[in-house]
Amino acid sequence: MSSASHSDGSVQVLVEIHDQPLESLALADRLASPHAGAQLWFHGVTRRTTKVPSNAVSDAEGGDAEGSDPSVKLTDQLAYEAHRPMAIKQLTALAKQAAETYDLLAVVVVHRLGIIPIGEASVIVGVSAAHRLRTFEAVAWIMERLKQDVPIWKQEQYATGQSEWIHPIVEAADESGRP
Amino acid sequence: MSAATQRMVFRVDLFAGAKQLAGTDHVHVDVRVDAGVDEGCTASDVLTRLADQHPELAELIGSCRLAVDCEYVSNDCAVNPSSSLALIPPVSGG
Repeated sequence: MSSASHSDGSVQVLVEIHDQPLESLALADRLASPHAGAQLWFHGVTRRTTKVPSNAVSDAEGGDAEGSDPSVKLTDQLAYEAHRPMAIKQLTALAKQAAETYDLLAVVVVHRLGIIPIGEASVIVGVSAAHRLRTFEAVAWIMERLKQDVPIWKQEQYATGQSEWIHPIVEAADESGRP
Repeated sequence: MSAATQRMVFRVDLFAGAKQLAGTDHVHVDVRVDAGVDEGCTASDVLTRLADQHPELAELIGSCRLAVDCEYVSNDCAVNPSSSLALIPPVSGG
């Protein structure tokens, strides 16, 4: 496990990378604050199906069962890897920036690496603030930035036996990095 | 190699699709720079030489960023072999 924990004034920041299943209950008290009116948790979990772009569908890449929808790929599991020290550094910077931008009281970002089965969490993000609207905005912003910049990658391992590393080409974020 | 040319060898760590294409988790890149060039070797030089010397990575490199000591750098950033370099393909965490 790789981790970084900071207390910047009144803001608590916890960033961890795990190789084992994430335990959300163990993180529950990390957002606790007498000044918090809202705590929000987000779990990113492995999904069974992936929609294939219409221009990429071919008979050879159809589902794993006769008559199944060729525009949908079935995932067996995901595998994640990371440039660990850089990921910790980037996630910590994101968490601190989110805390400052959205007036957060606490931020938790935990990412799992290795094989992640269907339905299990690859990432847990938790934030607390005085008011709920800030928590909704902060979690969305953290996830957007994580997906753009943090050196973590997933490999789709399909039911067909094929696998592929996912390297999406995304549009550059605006200067503020806000969604 | 002339006396006015400086040779530098960089280790570049690889991940995900790049690691799969290269069949290894790191490669070495040989960069030769004119000794009189003030900026020495840049990130762009390393990426260009990386594509030349490891053609299996050439197609992916165009979409990659270079990280030096755990920070993304611009193409014109000067780099030296004592730093930790990593080729960062488009990320897909979360």
